[in-house]
Amino acid sequence: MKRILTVAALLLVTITSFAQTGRNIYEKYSDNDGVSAVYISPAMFKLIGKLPEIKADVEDGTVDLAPVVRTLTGMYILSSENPAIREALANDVKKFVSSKKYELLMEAKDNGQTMKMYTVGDQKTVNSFVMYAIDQEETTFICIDGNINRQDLEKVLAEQMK
Amino acid sequence: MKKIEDIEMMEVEDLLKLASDNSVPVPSGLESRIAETLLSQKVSEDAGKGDTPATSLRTRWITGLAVAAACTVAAVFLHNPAQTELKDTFDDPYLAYAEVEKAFSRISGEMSKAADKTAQAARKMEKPIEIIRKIKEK
Repeated sequence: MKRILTVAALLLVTITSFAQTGRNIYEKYSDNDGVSAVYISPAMFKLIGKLPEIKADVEDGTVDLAPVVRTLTGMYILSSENPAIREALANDVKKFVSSKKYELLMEAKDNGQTMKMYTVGDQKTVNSFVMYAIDQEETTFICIDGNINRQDLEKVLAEQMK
Repeated sequence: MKKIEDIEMMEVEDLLKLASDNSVPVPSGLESRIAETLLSQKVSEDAGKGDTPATSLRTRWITGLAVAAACTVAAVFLHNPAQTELKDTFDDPYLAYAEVEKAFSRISGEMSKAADKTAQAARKMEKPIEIIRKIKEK
């Protein structure tokens, strides 16, 4: 019986951890005071995809965001200056990225600022991208879901970095 | 009539004497009640013998699996309640696109900072590498 109870407990833990999504985090914090939140739905991404010009200005011209934007299915952005929310958000993001087997793409720390980027997917496709940035005043959480071609995403980000 | 406590205090010899005393009347239906009690005890013992170790183990597993399944269903409903429809922050696709662009710009900005740090570290590494190279040349 002990073994069975252990199995049941493990099932519970597994399901609990798998239930956490970017959407859950957004829903949890978006209505709180001192939180600015942005949600863009799959339907809105379809509309954006139909816009004639999907280009972003960069230093030496423009970069075409269309290949990436058309494959996005959701974007969740949260930012807050409230210390209690920042702490709670940090814990939830930590659980979220560990439960969904996110791979750490990049981490940078400098003068009390921390930035982490995670992706989940395979060699060709990114199914979810998470950026989590903390500085002295603000915490920002960005989660982008979709079926994004990894090369296209890297190209867009690299172009904007110039 | 003697009480049970009194009977329990009595010696075996006294009990035997009482049992052989034909003058004491036997309550009516006592024999049939004793027979029924013995029979029901035997039936319950036989039922317990039919539960072999294998059956018992299987029953335990089935019970356990049922508990696990119930926990699973409960967990799914507790942690993934019917999702409410999230409302888009923007109704205008141009405004939504501007926010997407801003998000990408923020992400690449952070990446740039990280890349700058890496470049700084690489530059700092150049001096020790140069020193090591000179030592090797000597």
